Amino acid sequence: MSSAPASYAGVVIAAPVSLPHVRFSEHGAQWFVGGVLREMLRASGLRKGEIDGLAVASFTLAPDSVVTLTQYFDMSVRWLEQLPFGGASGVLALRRAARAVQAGDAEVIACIGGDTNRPEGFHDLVAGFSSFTVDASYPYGAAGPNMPFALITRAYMERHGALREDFGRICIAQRHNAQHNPGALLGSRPLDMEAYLAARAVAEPLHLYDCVMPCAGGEGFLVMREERARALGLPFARILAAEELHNAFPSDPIQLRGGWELFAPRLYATAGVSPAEIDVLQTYDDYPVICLLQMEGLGLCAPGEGPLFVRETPLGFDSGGLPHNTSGGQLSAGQAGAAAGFMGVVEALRQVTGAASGHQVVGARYALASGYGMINYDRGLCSAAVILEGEDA
Amino acid sequence: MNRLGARNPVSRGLYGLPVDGSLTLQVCADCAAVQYPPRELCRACLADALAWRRVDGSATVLAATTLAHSLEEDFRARLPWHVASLALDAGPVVFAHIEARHARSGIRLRVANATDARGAWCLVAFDAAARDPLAALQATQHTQGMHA
Repeated sequence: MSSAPASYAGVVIAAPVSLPHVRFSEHGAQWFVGGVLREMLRASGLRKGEIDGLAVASFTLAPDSVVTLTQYFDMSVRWLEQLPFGGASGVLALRRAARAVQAGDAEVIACIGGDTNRPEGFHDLVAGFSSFTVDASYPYGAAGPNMPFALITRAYMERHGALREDFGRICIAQRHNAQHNPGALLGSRPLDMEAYLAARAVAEPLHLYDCVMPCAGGEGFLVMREERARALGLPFARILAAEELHNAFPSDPIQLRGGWELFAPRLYATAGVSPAEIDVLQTYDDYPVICLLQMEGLGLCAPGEGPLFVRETPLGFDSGGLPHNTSGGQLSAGQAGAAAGFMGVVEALRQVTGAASGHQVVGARYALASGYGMINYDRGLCSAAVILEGEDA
Repeated sequence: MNRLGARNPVSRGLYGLPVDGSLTLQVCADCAAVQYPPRELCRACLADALAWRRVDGSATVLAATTLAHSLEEDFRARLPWHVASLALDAGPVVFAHIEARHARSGIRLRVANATDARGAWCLVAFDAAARDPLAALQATQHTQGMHA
């Protein structure tokens, strides 16, 4: 096996920020990224000049970039990172920022995912998502990611005997969670199994509630040394372990597993935590089948046993089972571009610091946040995960 | 804005091919690896030695879907639309337009080059066991509103 990553000891994550999602916005991505920055300064008591590193993920920032944002926000920084990693960008931002802080390249790094959504924005994004998409995916029905994920979902159902009800359990539990999160876009619309099953087909076997609603929003957190967080009086979480792997299993003809299973044993060993000790799970939920791939890959159940696992395990924040996507996730809070790739980390941080108010998991100490991203052609290329442990200042 | 007719310049070798049920893709002259989607360098050995060659179009359907929603009017006017991912015996996985009756995992089809309604290259999969494969290909194209 490859070398184990060095410990992240001494570096912490703090100041979770989520801007309320909106379906469409006339604002630019700068408004959302800057809004997150403003809210994390307010939450932390830091001045803008004390932020000396900036990591940004956004699909809608062009022609601006993370460096042009420094002038836009009138700030000088000595460390920059831009993360074109979609649903893995939050975990990846955390990993990179933590190393920079450990190495002394920066002291306080703002990690932000922010995207706007204009009426034609999603259409433009998926039509030109990558060179492979343009040639080999979009011309086949112009369905965006619904097409490859319909195929993955179909193959998963046939391979593992999953039923639509199994995906429905995930979606319905998340809608329950969203009803307790005022920021969730679809929190006011209850969902039960009857309505889930009766929904219109989008790309069979995917139906309406299997598909995320594109929206605008911003999510972010700060990374700094533990002493700094204590001095600021900020609740924080420790990074017990974090890993990433890209284009794992390239020879698999269709994606029924991601890279998680290749690093999960070491992730838990490094963290000193077993899967059974995870109090809160945040997966990247662009489609419910991908939640199952993450549950399996991260060892919460055996490969192929995702359907059985969600039949037996309640997933609501207050269910006493395995609280999953406790803010409602993208399936109920909306998919705000690359900000959606930050949602899991931000919500995990909120949960283990006891800051999740109406959807707080009682006694949450260990959170696992997983990332998955970048549907280049027929599969998502990025797999990532982090285990956080909360500590009140 | 014509998002559907767009293809990358690297795929220019897929234009002007005979629509006769055959399949042409890039093949590496150095290591023989078959490529898809189109590239500028060999996916396996990275050689700048890719050439357009006829390859075996035999393939197995990995999964199929019936689209009930599309971002483009061309397709919206013709929903439901059927596509599949297929594993070519020659190696790569492709997406292709299929007939409704072929939306079944595990069946054997043949993948061929074709031209879509926008005049852009595309791949279709048809019934290789049909008595008249060319007619089967044309039937697929007809149902998909393509140029024959």
